[in-house]
Amino acid sequence: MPEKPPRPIKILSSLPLNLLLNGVLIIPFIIMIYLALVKWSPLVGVNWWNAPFGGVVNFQRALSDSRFIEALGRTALFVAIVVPLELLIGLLLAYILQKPFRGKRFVISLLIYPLMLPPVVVATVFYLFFQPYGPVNNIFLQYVIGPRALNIYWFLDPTLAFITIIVADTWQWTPFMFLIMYSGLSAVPKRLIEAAEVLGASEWTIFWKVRLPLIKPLISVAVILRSLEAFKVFDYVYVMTGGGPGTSTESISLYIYRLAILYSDISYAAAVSLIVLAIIFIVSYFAVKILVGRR
Amino acid sequence: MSSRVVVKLENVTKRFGDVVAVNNISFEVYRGELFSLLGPSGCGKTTTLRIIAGLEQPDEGRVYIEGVDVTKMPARERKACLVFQEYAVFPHMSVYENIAFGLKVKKLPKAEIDKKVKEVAEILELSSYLNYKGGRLGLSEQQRVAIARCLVVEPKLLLLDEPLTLVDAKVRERMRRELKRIQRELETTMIYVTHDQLEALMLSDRVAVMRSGRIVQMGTPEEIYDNPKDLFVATFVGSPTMNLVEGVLELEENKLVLKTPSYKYILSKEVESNIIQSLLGSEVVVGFRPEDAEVRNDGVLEGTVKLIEIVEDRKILHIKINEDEVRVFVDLLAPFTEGQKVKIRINPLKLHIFEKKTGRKLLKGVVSG
Amino acid sequence: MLRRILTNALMWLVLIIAVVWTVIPVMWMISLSFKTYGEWRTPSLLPRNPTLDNYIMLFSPQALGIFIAYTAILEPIVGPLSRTLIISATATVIAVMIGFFTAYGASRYNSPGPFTLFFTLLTRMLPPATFVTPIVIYFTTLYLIDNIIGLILLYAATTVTYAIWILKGFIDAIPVEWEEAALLEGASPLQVLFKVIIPIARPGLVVAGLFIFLMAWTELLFALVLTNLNVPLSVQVSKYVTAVGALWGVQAAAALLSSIIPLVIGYLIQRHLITGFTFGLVRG
Repeated sequence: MPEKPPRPIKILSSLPLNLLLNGVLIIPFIIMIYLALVKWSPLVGVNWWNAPFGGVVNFQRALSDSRFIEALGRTALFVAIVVPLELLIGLLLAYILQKPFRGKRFVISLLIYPLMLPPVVVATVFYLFFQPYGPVNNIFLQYVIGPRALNIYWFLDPTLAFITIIVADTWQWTPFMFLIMYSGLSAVPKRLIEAAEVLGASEWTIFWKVRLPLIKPLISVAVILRSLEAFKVFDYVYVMTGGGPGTSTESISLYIYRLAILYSDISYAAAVSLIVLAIIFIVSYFAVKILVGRR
Repeated sequence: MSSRVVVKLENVTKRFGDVVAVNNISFEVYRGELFSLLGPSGCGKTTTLRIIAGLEQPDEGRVYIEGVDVTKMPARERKACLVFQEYAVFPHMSVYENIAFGLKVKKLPKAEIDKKVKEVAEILELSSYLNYKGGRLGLSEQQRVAIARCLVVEPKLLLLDEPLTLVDAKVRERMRRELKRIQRELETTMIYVTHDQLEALMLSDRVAVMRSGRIVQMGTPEEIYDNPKDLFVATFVGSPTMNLVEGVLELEENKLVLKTPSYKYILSKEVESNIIQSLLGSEVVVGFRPEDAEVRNDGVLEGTVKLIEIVEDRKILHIKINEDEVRVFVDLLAPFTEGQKVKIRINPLKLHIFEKKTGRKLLKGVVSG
Repeated sequence: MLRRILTNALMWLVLIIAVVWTVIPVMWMISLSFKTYGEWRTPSLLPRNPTLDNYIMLFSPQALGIFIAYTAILEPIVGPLSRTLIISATATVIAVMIGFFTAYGASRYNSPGPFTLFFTLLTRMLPPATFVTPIVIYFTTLYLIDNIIGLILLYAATTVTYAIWILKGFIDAIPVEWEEAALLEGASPLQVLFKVIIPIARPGLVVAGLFIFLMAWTELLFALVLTNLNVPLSVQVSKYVTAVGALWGVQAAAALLSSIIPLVIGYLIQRHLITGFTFGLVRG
């Protein structure tokens, strides 16, 4: 193929994309910077493009906004809990499913269907699950605590509510980790496993010394991707807990959503959004460096 | 069972679906010997090796290692180590770590591991490669690492699956000699799988020729070469291949003659009729090796030179006799030309006669010698 | 020996627990959606008097004459359903087309270059919430609020990167020689693109299309933000919980109904799910 693209191809492969992204995303991004630097909300009375200048006022406010900082920390905590959890369970399942058996394809199909469901649906499922008269309490009732279980209001206690979100995310996204781990483990050449076997290694040794090291790059990819997704958590929180009780399960996405839509605090919301973006960039940069380093 | 026997297979059969890969095989391997499983692809030799290693379970039969029935024992518990055809060097570990792997599994003290690894690395000339990552090695280094990995754990049995197939021809010679030297030095019992008959003949103390899951003939390289039990072994072993002609044996004027519908091959004027009597009149295949025939003026078999091939320190004459082509070794400097008419004498002691229908060897040598 | 049996049994146990844990929630939901009002709060796995009432409520809330106060808030589900269908389908077509051309240019000519490609990844990696603020203002000014065009454009923009990465993978796998042969025979580059590449890349187009359709169908945040009355399906389902509250059976029915198409799509592109989610980094 010639080095330079022929004219029509060049246009086709850049123009539509640029139009789309610039028109729909880049321009708003620039607007966002503008908004963060002015003082504006719909209640102010002027058109947004005539808003009074504000400088760094909005950013300063963010730094002392405890609700913002808590939301950030909470979301980070959420990521720190669900990602390792899903990784471990996914890895365990992927390992178990290395052995061939009848119906394995079917079992895998069963295990991964949560990935395909709309997150709203998953949120609805677990919202119902954790109702006072829902299955969770009703099962606890049978086995663990007795009739008192019917009085557990999952969504009225900050810690319990947080747990419900974790459960929902884990239920839906563990298959993601599982699929990646499964694909990785399956790709380990059988010969290497056999070589370790004839050298006397136990399954345990083979797992830690042969399989795991060989899928390390995949684990890094999985962790980075999943962490980025988990940080965005919105659907479960919005539907199941509404951020509550109070703001005890409010994720950063939900907070920004409320700022912009409920409170119409546009400028501030823009500033907060920019700060969050900056944080994500910085953290991702270092995370990729650490986890993927030796590329 | 005598302690001389390291491995014994008893009626081992292995099936993959409808295919019988290993069909009722039995043999013994003695301590300190290099025993080869020789045969074409698909004959079951690799499967047999894997069964001995414990990587496959036989459907029938038993496997004994040093007298112990290991048929159901998993590979990791057997004291046998396998060098794979693809080497399977751990790419993410250094050469040192690869070699040390089996020792670490045994939980030996660090100092001892270090000593053993360095010793074996020395033997296999890997000392300067110890820090290289497994994934960065060339083929010949990989092969040595694979062997070192096994040697260092001092297994009772070293199994090798066509270890030289991936190595290019020039290096192969040298590696063969290395392997043999190491085997002799360490007195390791080795089972060597190959499809290269030259390799098997050169290296082995004993050879088992396999075909379609069965052992066709087992013996020393000399036995296999000099006295093949059937047509398959006769043609598989020996390069260039044994010359073969088909027909009906007859005695004519004290000469041994092979009659085909279109021609009469005069095989030899030295014949002892009592030896040959029972075979007269039957359909046979007669074979003789290129080195067992000479071009001589008093030869009885006549033909025309079609091609002269130069091989190392000799020439091979391709001689056309009727419809067949026969190969005979001659001196490098002997003057022959294409189209020249020549006469051949076949050593009567080295005439092999096979039954045409089954390929079974009927007779070797038409005189007593 | 015994150790092996124990570990085997343990592994089977874990597997069974995993399967049960995965299947039970939805099974209960299915059963719940067919239960009558009185049975909603019982944990039984099968409804005693199965009924279609919950589903009927979705389609015509007033039909059954009960809960009128609640159901006055919500329109029959046909509206949101058709809206989501149109939005997803249109966004998919746009995203796949643009993604395809971009992927082709990137694969064969490095145009756009790797920097742009990486940049498109950002559209997926950054939290959508951080873009809500300006987009609301921007779209309101452009009168793109509360109509399907706004969402179509937005979804196309945010999913085009999937199309690019998935399709680039497929196109990379097509031998360049085939195109060069066609060019030598006098075809123009555009003809090559349409007559040679597209037919071969069709499976890739299908996978990318289905995957993007799935993404568009299941999105919630921007759907919430950009619509008021003309809500798509995902918002509608959320409203059954957030606005209506106690109608368990109906909520279950709504959730399930909106899951049918995603599940079908998911089943069809099972093998490619991971390729999609990881932007081609992991080949399922």
